[in-house]
Amino acid sequence: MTRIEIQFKGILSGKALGKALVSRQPLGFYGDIDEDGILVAKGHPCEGCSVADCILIYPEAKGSSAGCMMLHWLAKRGRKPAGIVNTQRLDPNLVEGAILADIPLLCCPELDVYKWVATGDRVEIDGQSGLLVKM
Amino acid sequence: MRLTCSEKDLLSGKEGPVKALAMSHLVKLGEAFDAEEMVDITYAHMSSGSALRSGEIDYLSGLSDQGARVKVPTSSEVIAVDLRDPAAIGAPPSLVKDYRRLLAVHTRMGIAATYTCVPFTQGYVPPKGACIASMESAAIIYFNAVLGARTNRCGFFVLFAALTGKYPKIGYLLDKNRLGTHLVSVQTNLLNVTDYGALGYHVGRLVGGGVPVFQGLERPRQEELIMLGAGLATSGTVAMYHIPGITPEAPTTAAALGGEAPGERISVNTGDIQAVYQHLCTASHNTVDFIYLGCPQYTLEQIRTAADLLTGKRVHPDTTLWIGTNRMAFAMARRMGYHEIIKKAGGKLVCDTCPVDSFLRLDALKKRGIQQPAVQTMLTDSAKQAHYARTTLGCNTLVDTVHACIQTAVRGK
Repeated sequence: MTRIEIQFKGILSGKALGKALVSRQPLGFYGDIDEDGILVAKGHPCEGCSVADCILIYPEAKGSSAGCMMLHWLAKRGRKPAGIVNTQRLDPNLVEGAILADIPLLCCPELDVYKWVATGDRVEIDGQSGLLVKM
Repeated sequence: MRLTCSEKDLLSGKEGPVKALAMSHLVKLGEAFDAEEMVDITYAHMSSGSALRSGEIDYLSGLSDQGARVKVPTSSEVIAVDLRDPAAIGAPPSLVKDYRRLLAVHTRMGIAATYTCVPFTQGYVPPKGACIASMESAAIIYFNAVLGARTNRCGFFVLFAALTGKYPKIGYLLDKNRLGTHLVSVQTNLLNVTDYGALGYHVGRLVGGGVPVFQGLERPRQEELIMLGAGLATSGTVAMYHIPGITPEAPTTAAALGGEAPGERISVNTGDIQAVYQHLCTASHNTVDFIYLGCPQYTLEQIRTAADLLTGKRVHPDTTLWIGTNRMAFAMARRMGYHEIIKKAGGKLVCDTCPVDSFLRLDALKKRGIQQPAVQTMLTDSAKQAHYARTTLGCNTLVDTVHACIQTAVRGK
Protein backbone atom coordinates (compact mmCIF):
# COMPACT_ATOMS: atom_id res chain seq x y z
CA MET A 1 0.00 0.00 0.00
CA THR A 2 1.23 3.44 -0.84
CA ARG A 3 1.73 6.04 1.81
CA ILE A 4 -0.51 9.04 1.24
CA GLU A 5 -0.33 12.45 2.85
CA ILE A 6 -3.24 14.88 2.84
CA GLN A 7 -2.96 18.41 4.17
CA PHE A 8 -5.82 19.76 6.30
CA LYS A 9 -6.31 22.78 8.48
CA GLY A 10 -5.32 21.76 12.00
CA ILE A 11 -8.12 22.78 14.36
CA LEU A 12 -7.23 21.13 17.67
CA SER A 13 -3.71 19.96 18.35
CA GLY A 14 -2.55 16.50 19.35
CA LYS A 15 -1.42 13.38 17.48
CA ALA A 16 -3.53 10.28 16.96
CA LEU A 17 -2.97 6.95 15.25
CA GLY A 18 -5.73 4.49 14.53
CA LYS A 19 -8.00 2.73 12.07
CA ALA A 20 -10.06 5.01 9.88
CA LEU A 21 -13.84 4.88 10.20
CA VAL A 22 -15.16 6.69 7.14
CA SER A 23 -18.71 7.99 6.73
CA ARG A 24 -19.80 9.99 3.73
CA GLN A 25 -22.87 11.13 5.66
CA PRO A 26 -22.92 13.73 8.46
CA LEU A 27 -22.98 12.28 11.98
CA GLY A 28 -24.36 13.55 15.27
CA PHE A 29 -22.76 12.35 18.49
CA TYR A 30 -26.13 12.68 20.20
CA GLY A 31 -28.48 10.29 18.42
CA ASP A 32 -26.24 8.54 15.90
CA ILE A 33 -23.77 7.16 18.47
CA ASP A 34 -24.77 5.45 21.71
CA GLU A 35 -23.26 5.71 25.18
CA ASP A 36 -20.85 2.84 24.44
CA GLY A 37 -19.54 4.56 21.33
CA ILE A 38 -21.40 2.30 18.89
CA LEU A 39 -22.68 3.88 15.70
CA VAL A 40 -26.42 3.22 15.84
CA ALA A 41 -27.71 5.42 12.99
CA LYS A 42 -30.28 3.24 11.22
CA GLY A 43 -29.21 2.14 7.75
CA HIS A 44 -25.80 3.78 7.99
CA PRO A 45 -23.11 1.75 6.15
CA CYS A 46 -21.08 1.62 9.39
CA GLU A 47 -24.07 0.80 11.65
CA GLY A 48 -22.86 -1.34 14.56
CA CYS A 49 -19.21 -0.20 14.33
CA SER A 50 -17.49 1.25 17.38
CA VAL A 51 -15.97 4.72 17.12
CA ALA A 52 -13.64 4.01 20.07
CA ASP A 53 -9.96 4.59 19.22
CA CYS A 54 -10.80 5.23 15.54
CA ILE A 55 -9.91 8.15 13.36
CA LEU A 56 -13.45 9.20 12.51
CA ILE A 57 -13.70 10.80 9.06
CA TYR A 58 -17.00 12.39 7.94
CA PRO A 59 -18.28 15.54 6.23
CA GLU A 60 -19.65 17.48 9.20
CA ALA A 61 -21.33 17.18 12.57
CA LYS A 62 -25.08 17.53 12.72
CA GLY A 63 -27.86 17.62 15.26
CA SER A 64 -28.20 18.41 18.92
CA SER A 65 -25.71 20.42 20.94
CA ALA A 66 -25.92 17.55 23.47
CA GLY A 67 -23.34 15.86 21.22
CA CYS A 68 -20.73 17.93 23.01
CA MET A 69 -21.27 16.28 26.40
CA MET A 70 -21.60 12.89 24.71
CA LEU A 71 -17.99 13.18 23.55
CA HIS A 72 -16.96 14.06 27.10
CA TRP A 73 -18.86 11.01 28.36
CA LEU A 74 -17.20 8.70 25.83
CA ALA A 75 -13.79 10.07 26.83
CA LYS A 76 -14.50 9.44 30.48
CA ARG A 77 -15.39 5.83 29.71
CA GLY A 78 -12.41 5.27 27.40
CA ARG A 79 -14.66 4.95 24.35
CA LYS A 80 -13.80 8.15 22.48
CA PRO A 81 -12.51 8.33 18.93
CA ALA A 82 -8.72 8.84 18.79
CA GLY A 83 -9.11 11.63 16.26
CA ILE A 84 -11.79 13.41 14.24
CA VAL A 85 -11.56 14.64 10.65
CA ASN A 86 -14.34 16.78 9.14
CA THR A 87 -14.21 17.35 5.41
CA GLN A 88 -16.87 20.02 4.88
CA ARG A 89 -17.84 22.30 7.72
CA LEU A 90 -16.68 22.85 11.25
CA ASP A 91 -19.55 22.68 13.72
CA PRO A 92 -18.96 24.74 16.89
CA ASN A 93 -20.68 22.16 19.09
CA LEU A 94 -18.42 19.41 17.80
CA VAL A 95 -15.37 21.60 18.43
CA GLU A 96 -16.59 22.14 21.99
CA GLY A 97 -16.97 18.39 22.48
CA ALA A 98 -13.56 17.63 21.03
CA ILE A 99 -11.95 20.23 23.34
CA LEU A 100 -13.64 18.70 26.40
CA ALA A 101 -12.66 15.18 25.33
CA ASP A 102 -9.15 16.24 24.24
CA ILE A 103 -9.43 14.84 20.71
CA PRO A 104 -7.23 16.13 17.84
CA LEU A 105 -9.37 17.65 15.08
CA LEU A 106 -8.75 18.43 11.41
CA CYS A 107 -10.92 20.19 8.83
CA CYS A 108 -10.84 21.50 5.24
CA PRO A 109 -8.75 18.94 3.27
CA GLU A 110 -6.79 19.94 0.19
CA LEU A 111 -7.64 16.62 -1.52
CA ASP A 112 -10.73 14.42 -1.73
CA VAL A 113 -10.06 12.27 1.32
CA TYR A 114 -12.84 9.81 0.42
CA LYS A 115 -10.94 8.86 -2.73
CA TRP A 116 -7.83 7.89 -0.81
CA VAL A 117 -8.90 6.69 2.63
CA ALA A 118 -11.37 3.89 3.37
CA THR A 119 -12.71 2.35 6.57
CA GLY A 120 -10.06 0.09 8.12
CA ASP A 121 -7.01 1.94 6.72
CA ARG A 122 -4.38 2.85 9.29
CA VAL A 123 -4.03 6.60 9.47
CA GLU A 124 -2.16 9.08 11.59
CA ILE A 125 -3.24 12.68 12.14
CA ASP A 126 -1.44 15.66 13.60
CA GLY A 127 -3.72 18.47 14.75
CA GLN A 128 -0.80 20.88 14.96
CA SER A 129 0.50 20.56 11.41
CA GLY A 130 -2.87 19.54 9.95
CA LEU A 131 -1.35 16.51 8.24
CA LEU A 132 -3.17 13.20 7.73
CA VAL A 133 -0.97 10.26 6.74
CA LYS A 134 -2.32 6.96 5.44
CA MET A 135 0.24 4.27 6.30
CA MET B 1 -5.02 35.05 19.71
CA ARG B 2 -4.23 38.26 21.61
CA LEU B 3 -5.01 38.03 25.30
CA THR B 4 -5.15 40.89 27.79
CA CYS B 5 -3.24 40.76 31.07
CA SER B 6 -6.35 39.82 33.04
CA GLU B 7 -7.17 37.08 30.50
CA LYS B 8 -3.63 35.71 30.83
CA ASP B 9 -4.08 35.74 34.61
CA LEU B 10 -7.27 33.73 34.29
CA LEU B 11 -5.48 31.26 32.02
CA SER B 12 -2.51 30.88 34.35
CA GLY B 13 -4.72 30.01 37.30
CA LYS B 14 -4.55 33.22 39.34
CA GLU B 15 -8.31 32.92 39.88
CA GLY B 16 -8.19 29.21 40.60
CA PRO B 17 -8.06 25.96 38.64
CA VAL B 18 -11.69 25.95 37.45
CA LYS B 19 -11.46 29.38 35.83
CA ALA B 20 -8.09 28.42 34.31
CA LEU B 21 -9.65 25.31 32.76
CA ALA B 22 -12.64 27.33 31.53
CA MET B 23 -10.35 29.95 29.99
CA SER B 24 -8.15 27.34 28.33
CA HIS B 25 -11.24 25.74 26.72
CA LEU B 26 -12.45 29.14 25.46
CA VAL B 27 -9.03 29.98 24.00
CA LYS B 28 -9.01 26.66 22.11
CA LEU B 29 -12.50 27.39 20.80
CA GLY B 30 -11.40 30.84 19.67
CA GLU B 31 -8.31 29.51 17.94
CA ALA B 32 -10.37 26.85 16.14
CA PHE B 33 -12.44 29.65 14.60
CA ASP B 34 -9.55 32.08 14.00
CA ALA B 35 -10.59 34.57 16.70
CA GLU B 36 -8.21 37.49 17.16
CA GLU B 37 -9.32 38.31 20.66
CA MET B 38 -11.74 37.68 23.51
CA VAL B 39 -14.70 39.87 24.45
CA ASP B 40 -16.17 40.57 27.88
CA ILE B 41 -19.64 39.13 28.12
CA THR B 42 -22.22 40.62 30.46
CA TYR B 43 -24.76 37.79 30.63
CA ALA B 44 -25.03 34.05 29.97
CA HIS B 45 -27.96 31.70 29.34
CA MET B 46 -26.76 28.14 29.78
CA SER B 47 -27.92 24.57 29.39
CA SER B 48 -29.05 23.37 32.83
CA GLY B 49 -27.53 19.93 32.38
CA SER B 50 -29.81 16.98 31.80
CA ALA B 51 -30.49 14.00 34.03
CA LEU B 52 -31.63 12.18 30.88
CA ARG B 53 -28.06 12.15 29.57
CA SER B 54 -25.25 10.40 31.37
CA GLY B 55 -22.53 12.44 33.01
CA GLU B 56 -23.99 15.93 32.67
CA ILE B 57 -25.10 16.56 36.25
CA ASP B 58 -21.93 14.91 37.59
CA TYR B 59 -19.80 17.23 35.46
CA LEU B 60 -21.44 20.39 36.85
CA SER B 61 -21.47 18.97 40.34
CA GLY B 62 -17.73 18.27 40.08
CA LEU B 63 -17.07 21.91 39.17
CA SER B 64 -19.21 23.19 42.02
CA ASP B 65 -17.34 20.91 44.45
CA GLN B 66 -14.21 22.80 43.42
CA GLY B 67 -15.91 26.06 44.36
CA ALA B 68 -16.87 27.21 40.85
CA ARG B 69 -19.16 30.23 40.74
CA VAL B 70 -20.39 32.20 37.75
CA LYS B 71 -18.89 35.63 37.15
CA VAL B 72 -21.77 37.22 35.18
CA PRO B 73 -25.56 37.05 35.57
CA THR B 74 -26.50 33.57 34.38
CA SER B 75 -29.90 32.04 33.69
CA SER B 76 -30.62 28.42 32.83
CA GLU B 77 -32.57 26.42 30.27
CA VAL B 78 -35.61 24.15 30.74
CA ILE B 79 -35.20 20.79 32.49
CA ALA B 80 -37.06 17.50 32.07
CA VAL B 81 -39.55 17.87 34.93
CA ASP B 82 -41.64 20.53 36.68
CA LEU B 83 -40.01 20.86 40.09
CA ARG B 84 -42.88 23.00 41.38
CA ASP B 85 -45.48 20.26 41.13
CA PRO B 86 -43.87 17.19 39.51
CA ALA B 87 -46.66 14.79 40.50
CA ALA B 88 -49.30 16.83 38.65
CA ILE B 89 -47.72 15.93 35.31
CA GLY B 90 -46.61 12.44 36.33
CA ALA B 91 -42.87 13.13 36.41
CA PRO B 92 -40.93 10.04 37.59
CA PRO B 93 -39.72 10.50 41.22
CA SER B 94 -36.18 9.31 40.45
CA LEU B 95 -35.76 12.06 37.86
CA VAL B 96 -37.22 14.62 40.24
CA LYS B 97 -34.60 13.58 42.78
CA ASP B 98 -31.82 14.08 40.19
CA TYR B 99 -33.11 17.55 39.38
CA ARG B 100 -33.38 18.56 43.03
CA ARG B 101 -29.70 17.70 43.26
CA LEU B 102 -29.04 19.76 40.14
CA LEU B 103 -30.97 22.69 41.61
CA ALA B 104 -28.67 22.60 44.65
CA VAL B 105 -25.63 22.63 42.32
CA HIS B 106 -27.02 25.62 40.37
CA THR B 107 -27.71 27.47 43.60
CA ARG B 108 -24.18 26.88 44.88
CA MET B 109 -22.71 28.11 41.60
CA GLY B 110 -24.85 31.24 41.50
CA ILE B 111 -26.78 30.13 38.41
CA ALA B 112 -30.39 31.38 38.46
CA ALA B 113 -32.69 28.35 38.32
CA THR B 114 -34.96 30.01 35.76
CA TYR B 115 -35.44 26.79 33.74
CA THR B 116 -36.76 28.79 30.84
CA CYS B 117 -36.38 29.15 27.08
CA VAL B 118 -37.42 32.83 27.18
CA PRO B 119 -35.09 34.45 29.74
CA PHE B 120 -35.62 37.86 28.08
CA THR B 121 -39.15 37.89 29.54
CA GLN B 122 -37.73 37.55 33.05
CA GLY B 123 -35.46 40.51 33.51
CA TYR B 124 -32.56 39.35 31.33
CA VAL B 125 -32.71 42.15 28.77
CA PRO B 126 -29.17 42.88 27.55
CA PRO B 127 -29.04 46.21 25.70
CA LYS B 128 -28.05 46.85 22.10
CA GLY B 129 -24.43 45.94 21.42
CA ALA B 130 -23.94 43.91 24.62
CA CYS B 131 -21.90 40.75 23.99
CA ILE B 132 -23.51 37.74 25.68
CA ALA B 133 -23.31 33.94 25.48
CA SER B 134 -26.58 32.10 25.02
CA MET B 135 -27.81 28.67 24.05
CA GLU B 136 -31.47 27.93 23.10
CA SER B 137 -32.13 28.88 19.51
CA ALA B 138 -35.36 30.77 20.27
CA ALA B 139 -33.59 32.94 22.84
CA ILE B 140 -30.46 33.49 20.72
CA ILE B 141 -32.45 34.88 17.81
CA TYR B 142 -34.52 37.16 20.07
CA PHE B 143 -31.41 38.57 21.76
CA ASN B 144 -29.80 39.29 18.38
CA ALA B 145 -32.75 40.46 16.31
CA VAL B 146 -35.12 42.13 18.78
CA LEU B 147 -32.78 43.42 21.50
CA GLY B 148 -29.68 44.00 19.36
CA ALA B 149 -27.46 42.19 21.88
CA ARG B 150 -24.85 39.86 20.35
CA THR B 151 -24.59 36.13 20.81
CA ASN B 152 -23.58 33.11 18.82
CA ARG B 153 -25.50 29.86 18.70
CA CYS B 154 -23.57 28.75 21.74
CA GLY B 155 -23.60 25.27 23.21
CA PHE B 156 -22.21 23.75 26.35
CA PHE B 157 -19.36 26.29 26.51
CA VAL B 158 -21.76 28.96 27.78
CA LEU B 159 -20.83 27.46 31.13
CA PHE B 160 -17.17 28.46 30.66
CA ALA B 161 -18.23 31.90 29.44
CA ALA B 162 -20.34 32.29 32.58
CA LEU B 163 -17.43 31.23 34.81
CA THR B 164 -14.94 33.65 33.22
CA GLY B 165 -17.05 36.46 31.73
CA LYS B 166 -15.22 35.88 28.43
CA TYR B 167 -16.01 34.52 24.96
CA PRO B 168 -13.94 34.45 21.77
CA LYS B 169 -14.90 37.18 19.29
CA ILE B 170 -16.35 35.04 16.52
CA GLY B 171 -19.50 34.65 14.42
CA TYR B 172 -22.43 36.90 15.32
CA LEU B 173 -20.29 39.01 17.65
CA LEU B 174 -18.75 40.52 14.49
CA ASP B 175 -20.58 43.26 12.50
CA LYS B 176 -20.03 41.63 9.12
CA ASN B 177 -21.84 38.42 10.05
CA ARG B 178 -24.96 40.24 11.23
CA LEU B 179 -25.86 41.88 7.92
CA GLY B 180 -28.89 40.69 5.96
CA THR B 181 -28.41 38.05 3.27
CA HIS B 182 -31.99 37.55 2.02
CA LEU B 183 -34.73 40.11 1.43
CA VAL B 184 -38.06 38.57 2.38
CA SER B 185 -41.23 40.27 1.22
CA VAL B 186 -44.25 39.10 3.22
CA GLN B 187 -47.31 39.38 0.99
CA THR B 188 -49.91 37.80 3.19
CA ASN B 189 -51.77 38.84 6.33
CA LEU B 190 -50.61 37.06 9.45
CA LEU B 191 -53.71 36.58 11.57
CA ASN B 192 -52.30 35.34 14.88
CA VAL B 193 -49.20 34.24 16.80
CA THR B 194 -49.30 30.78 15.24
CA ASP B 195 -49.08 32.30 11.76
CA TYR B 196 -45.87 34.08 12.78
CA GLY B 197 -44.42 30.71 13.80
CA ALA B 198 -45.42 29.27 10.43
CA LEU B 199 -43.83 32.24 8.61
CA GLY B 200 -40.59 31.69 10.53
CA TYR B 201 -40.66 27.98 9.79
CA HIS B 202 -41.19 28.62 6.07
CA VAL B 203 -38.42 31.23 5.78
CA GLY B 204 -35.98 29.22 7.93
CA ARG B 205 -36.22 26.36 5.46
CA LEU B 206 -35.31 28.70 2.61
CA VAL B 207 -32.47 30.69 4.18
CA GLY B 208 -30.74 27.95 6.23
CA GLY B 209 -28.01 29.78 8.11
CA GLY B 210 -28.66 33.16 6.45
CA VAL B 211 -29.88 36.46 7.88
CA PRO B 212 -33.33 37.34 6.50
CA VAL B 213 -34.52 40.94 6.25
CA PHE B 214 -38.31 41.17 6.44
CA GLN B 215 -40.49 43.61 4.59
CA GLY B 216 -44.26 43.85 4.91
CA LEU B 217 -44.65 42.98 8.58
CA GLU B 218 -46.91 45.39 10.48
CA ARG B 219 -45.76 46.29 13.99
CA PRO B 220 -45.52 42.81 15.53
CA ARG B 221 -46.25 42.25 19.22
CA GLN B 222 -43.66 40.70 21.54
CA GLU B 223 -45.27 37.26 21.44
CA GLU B 224 -45.34 37.37 17.64
CA LEU B 225 -41.63 38.19 17.50
CA ILE B 226 -40.87 35.35 19.92
CA MET B 227 -42.79 32.91 17.72
CA LEU B 228 -41.28 34.21 14.46
CA GLY B 229 -37.77 33.68 15.81
CA ALA B 230 -38.57 30.24 17.20
CA GLY B 231 -39.84 29.16 13.77
CA LEU B 232 -36.82 30.56 11.91
CA ALA B 233 -34.40 28.78 14.23
CA THR B 234 -36.26 25.46 13.99
CA SER B 235 -36.31 24.73 10.27
CA GLY B 236 -33.09 26.67 9.68
CA THR B 237 -30.11 27.59 11.80
CA VAL B 238 -31.03 31.27 11.72
CA ALA B 239 -29.51 33.27 14.60
CA MET B 240 -30.28 36.78 13.37
CA TYR B 241 -32.95 38.55 11.34
CA HIS B 242 -33.86 42.15 10.67
CA ILE B 243 -37.17 43.92 10.67
CA PRO B 244 -36.22 47.45 9.64
CA GLY B 245 -37.47 49.90 12.25
CA ILE B 246 -37.66 47.22 14.93
CA THR B 247 -34.27 45.51 14.96
CA PRO B 248 -32.10 48.05 16.84
CA GLU B 249 -29.22 48.00 14.36
CA ALA B 250 -31.49 48.22 11.31
CA PRO B 251 -33.29 51.57 11.10
CA THR B 252 -33.76 50.97 7.36
CA THR B 253 -33.65 48.09 4.90
CA ALA B 254 -30.46 49.54 3.42
CA ALA B 255 -28.81 49.51 6.85
CA ALA B 256 -29.92 45.92 7.41
CA LEU B 257 -28.25 44.91 4.15
CA GLY B 258 -25.11 46.96 4.83
CA GLY B 259 -25.80 49.10 1.76
CA GLU B 260 -25.43 46.10 -0.56
CA ALA B 261 -28.01 44.42 -2.79
CA PRO B 262 -29.57 41.36 -1.12
CA GLY B 263 -28.02 38.02 -2.04
CA GLU B 264 -31.46 36.61 -2.68
CA ARG B 265 -35.08 37.80 -2.76
CA ILE B 266 -37.94 35.76 -1.39
CA SER B 267 -41.63 36.49 -1.54
CA VAL B 268 -44.02 34.80 0.87
CA ASN B 269 -47.70 34.36 0.05
CA THR B 270 -50.70 32.79 1.75
CA GLY B 271 -50.07 29.43 0.09
CA ASP B 272 -46.59 29.23 1.64
CA ILE B 273 -48.04 29.63 5.14
CA GLN B 274 -50.73 27.05 4.42
CA ALA B 275 -48.07 24.63 3.18
CA VAL B 276 -46.33 24.82 6.58
CA TYR B 277 -49.57 23.84 8.33
CA GLN B 278 -50.00 20.96 5.90
CA HIS B 279 -46.45 19.78 6.51
CA LEU B 280 -46.81 19.88 10.30
CA CYS B 281 -50.30 18.36 10.48
CA THR B 282 -49.93 14.59 10.25
CA ALA B 283 -53.22 13.43 11.79
CA SER B 284 -56.85 14.45 12.12
CA HIS B 285 -58.30 16.40 15.04
CA ASN B 286 -60.22 13.35 16.27
CA THR B 287 -57.03 11.55 17.35
CA VAL B 288 -55.72 14.33 19.63
CA ASP B 289 -54.84 13.19 23.15
CA PHE B 290 -52.37 15.91 24.19
CA ILE B 291 -52.60 19.66 23.74
CA TYR B 292 -49.53 21.77 24.36
CA LEU B 293 -49.47 25.56 24.54
CA GLY B 294 -46.27 27.32 25.51
CA CYS B 295 -43.53 26.82 22.95
CA PRO B 296 -41.73 29.08 23.58
CA GLN B 297 -42.97 29.33 27.18
CA TYR B 298 -46.13 31.42 27.45
CA THR B 299 -45.99 35.01 28.64
CA LEU B 300 -48.45 36.22 31.27
CA GLU B 301 -50.54 37.76 28.50
CA GLN B 302 -50.80 34.43 26.68
CA ILE B 303 -51.76 32.68 29.92
CA ARG B 304 -54.47 35.29 30.39
CA THR B 305 -55.87 34.52 26.92
CA ALA B 306 -55.86 30.79 27.65
CA ALA B 307 -57.52 31.34 31.03
CA ASP B 308 -60.22 33.50 29.41
CA LEU B 309 -60.95 30.73 26.92
CA LEU B 310 -61.09 28.13 29.70
CA THR B 311 -63.30 30.10 32.08
CA GLY B 312 -66.30 27.97 33.02
CA LYS B 313 -65.11 25.14 30.75
CA ARG B 314 -63.81 21.67 31.51
CA VAL B 315 -60.97 19.86 29.69
CA HIS B 316 -62.30 16.58 28.26
CA PRO B 317 -61.20 13.52 30.29
CA ASP B 318 -59.60 11.92 27.20
CA THR B 319 -57.30 14.87 26.56
CA THR B 320 -54.39 16.35 28.50
CA LEU B 321 -53.77 20.10 28.36
CA TRP B 322 -50.40 21.55 29.36
CA ILE B 323 -49.72 25.26 29.28
CA GLY B 324 -45.97 25.75 29.64
CA THR B 325 -44.49 28.80 31.30
CA ASN B 326 -41.77 29.95 33.68
CA ARG B 327 -41.72 30.68 37.40
CA MET B 328 -42.10 34.46 37.06
CA ALA B 329 -45.12 34.33 34.77
CA PHE B 330 -46.53 31.55 36.94
CA ALA B 331 -46.28 33.68 40.08
CA MET B 332 -48.17 36.48 38.35
CA ALA B 333 -50.70 34.05 36.88
CA ARG B 334 -51.39 32.78 40.37
CA ARG B 335 -51.75 36.30 41.71
CA MET B 336 -54.15 37.21 38.93
CA GLY B 337 -56.27 34.09 39.39
CA TYR B 338 -55.43 32.60 35.96
CA HIS B 339 -53.79 29.55 37.52
CA GLU B 340 -56.94 28.82 39.50
CA ILE B 341 -59.12 29.05 36.36
CA ILE B 342 -56.84 26.72 34.39
CA LYS B 343 -56.61 24.25 37.26
CA LYS B 344 -60.36 24.27 37.81
CA ALA B 345 -60.86 23.53 34.12
CA GLY B 346 -58.58 20.51 34.41
CA GLY B 347 -55.64 22.03 32.54
CA LYS B 348 -52.09 22.13 33.88
CA LEU B 349 -50.04 25.29 34.07
CA VAL B 350 -46.56 23.76 33.91
CA CYS B 351 -43.24 25.37 34.89
CA ASP B 352 -39.57 24.52 34.29
CA THR B 353 -40.00 22.06 31.44
CA CYS B 354 -41.16 21.49 27.87
CA PRO B 355 -42.59 18.25 26.37
CA VAL B 356 -39.77 17.80 23.86
CA ASP B 357 -37.10 18.06 26.57
CA SER B 358 -39.05 16.18 29.22
CA PHE B 359 -39.51 12.69 30.63
CA LEU B 360 -42.06 12.15 27.81
CA ARG B 361 -39.22 11.84 25.29
CA LEU B 362 -38.88 8.43 23.64
CA ASP B 363 -35.27 8.09 24.83
CA ALA B 364 -36.28 8.90 28.41
CA LEU B 365 -39.15 6.39 28.29
CA LYS B 366 -36.87 3.73 26.84
CA LYS B 367 -34.45 4.12 29.77
CA ARG B 368 -37.38 3.29 32.06
CA GLY B 369 -38.27 0.23 29.97
CA ILE B 370 -41.29 1.83 28.29
CA GLN B 371 -41.42 1.17 24.55
CA GLN B 372 -44.70 2.94 23.67
CA PRO B 373 -44.81 6.70 23.02
CA ALA B 374 -46.57 8.64 25.78
CA VAL B 375 -48.45 10.83 23.30
CA GLN B 376 -50.39 9.69 20.26
CA THR B 377 -51.27 13.02 18.64
CA MET B 378 -50.17 16.40 19.91
CA LEU B 379 -52.07 19.56 19.02
CA THR B 380 -50.09 22.75 19.57
CA ASP B 381 -50.10 26.40 18.54
CA SER B 382 -46.37 26.30 17.75
CA ALA B 383 -44.63 25.16 14.58
CA LYS B 384 -41.45 24.63 16.60
CA GLN B 385 -43.09 22.30 19.11
CA ALA B 386 -44.75 20.26 16.34
CA HIS B 387 -41.46 19.93 14.48
CA TYR B 388 -39.55 18.53 17.46
CA ALA B 389 -42.43 16.53 19.01
CA ARG B 390 -42.62 14.27 15.99
CA THR B 391 -39.14 12.88 16.44
CA THR B 392 -38.50 13.26 20.17
CA LEU B 393 -41.93 12.07 21.37
CA GLY B 394 -42.71 9.86 18.37
CA CYS B 395 -46.22 11.29 17.96
CA ASN B 396 -48.40 12.74 15.24
CA THR B 397 -48.81 16.50 15.31
CA LEU B 398 -51.35 19.19 14.52
CA VAL B 399 -50.83 22.94 14.55
CA ASP B 400 -53.67 25.40 15.10
CA THR B 401 -54.47 28.65 16.93
CA VAL B 402 -54.77 28.86 20.72
CA HIS B 403 -58.55 29.20 20.28
CA ALA B 404 -58.77 25.97 18.29
CA CYS B 405 -56.39 24.20 20.69
CA ILE B 406 -58.54 25.01 23.70
CA GLN B 407 -61.74 24.20 21.85
CA THR B 408 -60.34 20.76 21.04
CA ALA B 409 -59.13 20.30 24.63
CA VAL B 410 -62.67 20.91 25.86
CA ARG B 411 -64.49 18.94 23.18
CA GLY B 412 -62.11 15.99 23.27
CA LYS B 413 -61.27 13.84 20.26
